[in-house]
Amino acid sequence: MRVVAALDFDDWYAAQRPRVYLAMLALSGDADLAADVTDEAFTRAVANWNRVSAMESPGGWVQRVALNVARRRLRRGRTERRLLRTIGGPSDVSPPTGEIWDLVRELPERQRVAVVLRYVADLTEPEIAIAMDIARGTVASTLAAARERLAGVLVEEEIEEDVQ
Amino acid sequence: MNVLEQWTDEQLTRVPSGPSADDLRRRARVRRNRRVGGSLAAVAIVLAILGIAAMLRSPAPRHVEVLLPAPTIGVEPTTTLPDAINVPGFSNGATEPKDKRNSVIYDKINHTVSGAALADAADPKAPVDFAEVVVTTRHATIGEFGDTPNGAGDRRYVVQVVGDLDCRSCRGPGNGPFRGRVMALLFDAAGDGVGFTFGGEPQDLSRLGTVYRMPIGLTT
Repeated sequence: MRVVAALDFDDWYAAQRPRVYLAMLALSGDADLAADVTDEAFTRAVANWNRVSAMESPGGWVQRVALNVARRRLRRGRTERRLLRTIGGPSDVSPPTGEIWDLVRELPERQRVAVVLRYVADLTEPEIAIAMDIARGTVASTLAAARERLAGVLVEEEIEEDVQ
Repeated sequence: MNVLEQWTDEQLTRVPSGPSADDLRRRARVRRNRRVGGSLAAVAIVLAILGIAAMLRSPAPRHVEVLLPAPTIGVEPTTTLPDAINVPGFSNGATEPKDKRNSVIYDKINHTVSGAALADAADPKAPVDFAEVVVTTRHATIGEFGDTPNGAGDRRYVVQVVGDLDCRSCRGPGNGPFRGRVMALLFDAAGDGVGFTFGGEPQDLSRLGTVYRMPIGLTT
């Protein structure tokens, strides 16, 4: 029996929501849009929970839905803000800034999405493949290319951590 | 841990709380009540009966070709639709390969769409402003258009019909007949309906691929 099938929606939602939100925030730079598409993706997940929970990667699925919704809304050029949030005030989370994020934003779209799904959403390569609807091998090569372009900054940070 | 993971770890504790799981369930329930999702089978049966009745009343086939420009209400056109002469054309398309398999599938889709859009039109005027079709993948339609997990192949056809729709055999809000502006139908690779939605705003289908005008009712 797969572990995820035994989880109920509430636990899965509580665990997954923050990373889906952060991934959408990192990709869009818009906190309202990130919250909106995150809520929309999880609403669709709960509406189809029997099917979603039995999938190979519910996390990859919900990220894919969130990406689809975000792309559509960004393409429309307007954000439909239908926030369902009834708890909590304005967001304390700011869109990511700094040299590393400037570099991430300069990556080609596929590399940018793969990097965010890997390091922010914490998805595995197979899950990223599902979320982006591309082959697993393509995920690996895309991430490798992105890492190469980000190498200077990423390696530097990792060395600092090792020294500590 | 690299700097991206570090940023994520710092932000995780600051993510604003979202709606509760129960809030999402309520939202999904309300949406389900507003929207007819799932199998087309029940509607198809009713439409078939209506179609037979219509044929008995009038042997002449009802052909409606809508060549009006797409309405601008709620839609920001991002794609220039091909001229009518260049549309796939359901059996005689210039874009889709002219093989027998495609012709059969398009005819099948057209038949279903025409039935759903036109079968109950009491108004002698064409109730459809426009209909458009896009060929896409199963993955791209996950969670949309009332998709159901079953369905043949990876190819999916999404058809959007916009007009003064009046489908008395359909179940709309409150389980009553559907009257509204927008109907979207999802078909699998074999041309069988695998989902549909009613209501809402017209969607920009160009995000799924090249959009073609669909001349409703024109089959060979």
